[in-house]
Amino acid sequence: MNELIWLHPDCLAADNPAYLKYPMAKALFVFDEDEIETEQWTLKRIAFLYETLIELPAEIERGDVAAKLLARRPEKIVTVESINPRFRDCLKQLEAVVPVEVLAAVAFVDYRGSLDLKRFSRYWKRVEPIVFDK
Amino acid sequence: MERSFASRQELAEYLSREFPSAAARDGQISPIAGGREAGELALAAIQPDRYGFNRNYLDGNVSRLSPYIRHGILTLKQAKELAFSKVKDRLHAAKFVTELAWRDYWQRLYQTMGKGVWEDREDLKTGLPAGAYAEKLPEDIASGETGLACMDAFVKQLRATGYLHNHSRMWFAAYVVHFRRVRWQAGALFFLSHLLDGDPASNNLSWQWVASTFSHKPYFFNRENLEKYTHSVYCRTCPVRGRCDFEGSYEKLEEKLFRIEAR
Repeated sequence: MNELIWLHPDCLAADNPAYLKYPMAKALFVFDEDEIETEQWTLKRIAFLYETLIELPAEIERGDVAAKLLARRPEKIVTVESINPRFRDCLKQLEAVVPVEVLAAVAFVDYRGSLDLKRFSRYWKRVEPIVFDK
Repeated sequence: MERSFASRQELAEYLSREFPSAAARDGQISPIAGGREAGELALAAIQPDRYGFNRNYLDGNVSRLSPYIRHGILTLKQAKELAFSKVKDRLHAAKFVTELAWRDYWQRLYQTMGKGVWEDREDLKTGLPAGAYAEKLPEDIASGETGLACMDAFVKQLRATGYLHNHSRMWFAAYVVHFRRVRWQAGALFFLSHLLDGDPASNNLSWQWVASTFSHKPYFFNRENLEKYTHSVYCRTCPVRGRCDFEGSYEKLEEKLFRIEAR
């Protein structure tokens, strides 16, 4: 199958779950021009990402992320989950056209269940014992 | 796009041509390099035990891992495991690991808030109406020309490197929101624009914490506090030393800045 790895700004490691599961697949990163303008990125962030990307087996483009990915006509897109609303918006556009496999990101702590996020102290009360193996 | 460059300068020139609007905002390239190798060097250098003692000082043993973690080049789990491996007792890495947990916390909140991270999470506790805060970041702040040695130095560093120590971020945010009465969103966007680790969750929610829309009270500081944790490097040469906006006790400043009724 012709899989395409969708690299995005939250998963730029050579051992991210998508590369590990599909080592032979091509990968594409698209600089999201709308994100760059909305968040008013300066050249520093772009250069930092670019230096990261040229170490990876990935092609680099800029423009509309979903359109650029779909233009490659993949049979399937593989990516790593992100909670960025832009990721979710793009995912919806892709899923309307092609199957997308979203792999879980590496978690800080393996906590199953609901967490009270009103304040950090409430979150930490639950998570700290797991982190410190108490 | 191209993948091979003879030097960082050549990369910068290429990116300036490809991303002209970003370059027009600020065309500088940070001395902090991207990539896994650079991230792993920073990771290997962490000193979690010393971090616990001196992280609030600008010359403290902070990790500078945030740009790498923000972009998934390194994971929170990797940083946590390495920190634990470097200390005899896990508690000696407690402060460092707690800061990693803050990022996890912000990310979990982001999942529930989405684009809502741009809106006030709670009411302000400053006693001032929302209309008391200016919409836009004043030009003298954005260009580092306020005349305050500390704030101008923070802006210069931010623009040149895309990085600021967490304490500098807090002081700067408090200055913008409380001393200059500017909406936190304007400051948050300025940071997102320049920070290599710019992330709408960690960034905006931290600004909200300072502003008091995500905390029980506004965060502010006085000169004594800033001078202590900077070893006076800014105050020593500041043109307004002794008569800056930050002079005085916390009680006096609170009275000047807010309209908080006695409880």
